[in-house]
Amino acid sequence: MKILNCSRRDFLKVSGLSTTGLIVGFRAFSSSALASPTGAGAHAFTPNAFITINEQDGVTLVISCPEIGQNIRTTFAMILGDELGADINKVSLHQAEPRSDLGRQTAGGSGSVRNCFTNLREAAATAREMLIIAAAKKWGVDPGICQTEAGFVVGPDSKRVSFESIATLASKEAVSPNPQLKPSSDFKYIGKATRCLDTKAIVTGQTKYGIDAFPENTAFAVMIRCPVFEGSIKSYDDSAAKRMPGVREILQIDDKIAVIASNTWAAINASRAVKVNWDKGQNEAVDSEKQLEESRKVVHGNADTVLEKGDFEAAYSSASIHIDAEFFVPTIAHASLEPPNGTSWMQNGKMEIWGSSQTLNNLYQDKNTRRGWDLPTMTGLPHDKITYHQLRIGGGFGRKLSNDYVQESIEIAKQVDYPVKMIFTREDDIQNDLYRKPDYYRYRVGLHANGFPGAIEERSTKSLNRKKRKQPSAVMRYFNDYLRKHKSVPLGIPGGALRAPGHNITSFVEQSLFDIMAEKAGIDAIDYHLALHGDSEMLKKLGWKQAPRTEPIVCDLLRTVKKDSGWKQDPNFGYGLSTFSGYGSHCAIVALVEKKDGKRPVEKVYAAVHCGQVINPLGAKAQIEGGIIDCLSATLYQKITHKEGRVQQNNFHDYRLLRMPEHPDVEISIAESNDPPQGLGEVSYPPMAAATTNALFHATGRRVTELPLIS
Amino acid sequence: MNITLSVNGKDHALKEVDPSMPILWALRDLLGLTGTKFGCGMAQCGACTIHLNGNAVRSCVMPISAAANAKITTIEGLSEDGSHPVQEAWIEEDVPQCGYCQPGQIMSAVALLKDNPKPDLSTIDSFMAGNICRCGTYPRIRKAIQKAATKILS
Repeated sequence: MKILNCSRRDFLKVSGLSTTGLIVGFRAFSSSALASPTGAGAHAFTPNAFITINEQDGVTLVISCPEIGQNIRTTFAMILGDELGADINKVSLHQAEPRSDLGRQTAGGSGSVRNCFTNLREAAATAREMLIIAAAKKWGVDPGICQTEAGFVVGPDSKRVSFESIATLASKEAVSPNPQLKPSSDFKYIGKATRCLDTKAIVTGQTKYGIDAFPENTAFAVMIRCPVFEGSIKSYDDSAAKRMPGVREILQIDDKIAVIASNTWAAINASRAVKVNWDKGQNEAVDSEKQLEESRKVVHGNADTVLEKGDFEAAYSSASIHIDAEFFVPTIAHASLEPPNGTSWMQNGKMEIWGSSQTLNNLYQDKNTRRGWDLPTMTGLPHDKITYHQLRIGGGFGRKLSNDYVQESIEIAKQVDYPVKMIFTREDDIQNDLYRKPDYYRYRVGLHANGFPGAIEERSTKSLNRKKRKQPSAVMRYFNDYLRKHKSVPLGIPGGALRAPGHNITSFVEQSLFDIMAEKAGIDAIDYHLALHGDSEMLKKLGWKQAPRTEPIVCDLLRTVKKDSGWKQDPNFGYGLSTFSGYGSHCAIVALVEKKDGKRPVEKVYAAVHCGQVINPLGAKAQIEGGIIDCLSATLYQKITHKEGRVQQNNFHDYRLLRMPEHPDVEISIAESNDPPQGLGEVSYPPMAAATTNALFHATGRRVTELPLIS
Repeated sequence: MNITLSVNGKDHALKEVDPSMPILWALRDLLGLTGTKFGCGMAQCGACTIHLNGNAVRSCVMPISAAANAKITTIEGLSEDGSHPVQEAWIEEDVPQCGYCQPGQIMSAVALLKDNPKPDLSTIDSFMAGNICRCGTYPRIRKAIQKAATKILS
């Protein structure tokens, strides 16, 4: 017996399910859903995810989004727990496969919570109302005096019935079109620090990540890829490799070679023994140093005017303060600790796949990359002949938003009759990433004598799509007169989304520029930011007749972070400020760098964040803290360079991540808010780069405009 | 070569194996013990940390020939039920995010506390410097190690 809270059309879609008990669908996707940076959120899917309650399993919650450490499984359980009145420790969590009826199934664009919060609550409230009505009828009492609590409907005179016992009766009740959501004062979980439900499995080594898939009789593979992007195979000699112990098969797959063995070690060794004669193609000329030189020339030479407002040249020449600044942000790689991998098994015309993808939406149907990285295209099979198991993701940072590595795994499986687990070695990962591409900017800025932003010219070198060309960048929006000149410098490297795509470059550039503007105008950085964001007192104090932007939330965060950090009170430190608004949230960061050689590159970081209603303060803080530490890694160390078309970095010794002794202490203040929950996974990353370099400037007088700091 | 590995108190006879195979791949690919993670293959990240006779080693570079007469402990064998004080502290401090590096972090932390039951912060930092966490859980790892130390001493 099953009932849905939506239309008969939706009911028909799930009527084939063989579960008994109560099943409630919920809209996991709304038409106003914000697009992810790669656009993955912008697709309409038939909206349906499921709460199932039955005698055998109790309450089961389908987790539509991939779990990547954003803690979505616990977060969704908390939302369900409150609105349904369930005990989250007794709810079974089912990690969903790619489907057409689950709405957003992507860990990207900081969108998991903000896209699902209301819909999940409505679904849970619907289920709660049906359970209560069924129990009240059974007891012959008024449903108005019944409630739910920890998996039971509770009535007068200590009457209690478990959800699973009443589920079948409840499923016969009419579905309320407008389920009543609980007031937040009734929440037991939402807003309360709640530990991750998966931790015990993680700390005992029981959690399965994509790379841990282990079907019976699986073989193990690594791929040999051309060291130069888009190169191809002329010929290869695998005769020595084939004779090595443990090697099962060596297969050419397009311009790659798969080496399959009885264990990964044998596969890696044999892959080194295969001699390949590559046609490296035109990208053999790719050279990062030359591209950087070229970019420097380009921002000083002729370029197309692609966007203009007012009269930049007139406003610039009449300005009192002039700034001419250049910024370089390098190529970086994702380097998620679980490298890309996939396990696939083709048998009897069916394909079974184990993976840890960030986007199941694209696996279902790839409308996003247009590379055919969806399961039917990759396997050549219809959905009903494909079984995909989504396992936990050991970090992705955007790398696993592209399902190219799933494709490699599937291509291997098509050629053999046993399961094969294909992994990227760390070197494969660093050298065959879909990189955050570099960019080189030059700004000419004219300020009034009182620091008011007058005119700005932006020149950039990374290819801009048509839409982006015509939109002013975030920093240009603070100016009345602006001009954008653009000329692309061809790169010849593959690109992809990396945590806060676009923002992770532009925030550094913009927030460095604001610090330079404040410095040249002789205004304290926090005061300057307050005026930039429309604080009326500061506007008056500085004599600005208008507010460049009006962002009262940002002003509040600036005041918070000023107070928390004891702004400029300790003479031993340089204080660096940076702000960011995006993914529906706002963040202000102050970083402290010691003036003498400090033990740590950044000693302390204070962050003030506004992200709407917080579901789980523990998870929220972890995301903010993690973003800060992650960005500090990139700011200090990360740089991928190409020479003769080849990536020069190999592994964590020459592509460094921040280590324990280098991590700053982080103090976080989250603003109380009853606004709907917003994104958090990518909110603290963008501003941390400029917070660091601005602090370094105020500690040492050294203005860093090229990243990374240490190379 | 035939090698018997003693893992978590159980002997596993491996027949005709390459003695230079790192313990990591024997655990993961031959024994199906996937709690020990691959991260770098060159002792840079610590995700593969196990105990060899109670000492923390990077299993991605340690050949199985070196483990022939030794006792291996992996994350799966640290306790029957997740009740090791370090595991408990990890749960209480809500340490993991993606969690991939955490088995290695825990195996390092256990080794640290075995030799140094009351480590100060700089000792924790330097001992744990070999374990990378890409999610940035370092502040909570520190706290959890301090908490575990208190648990073990009490």
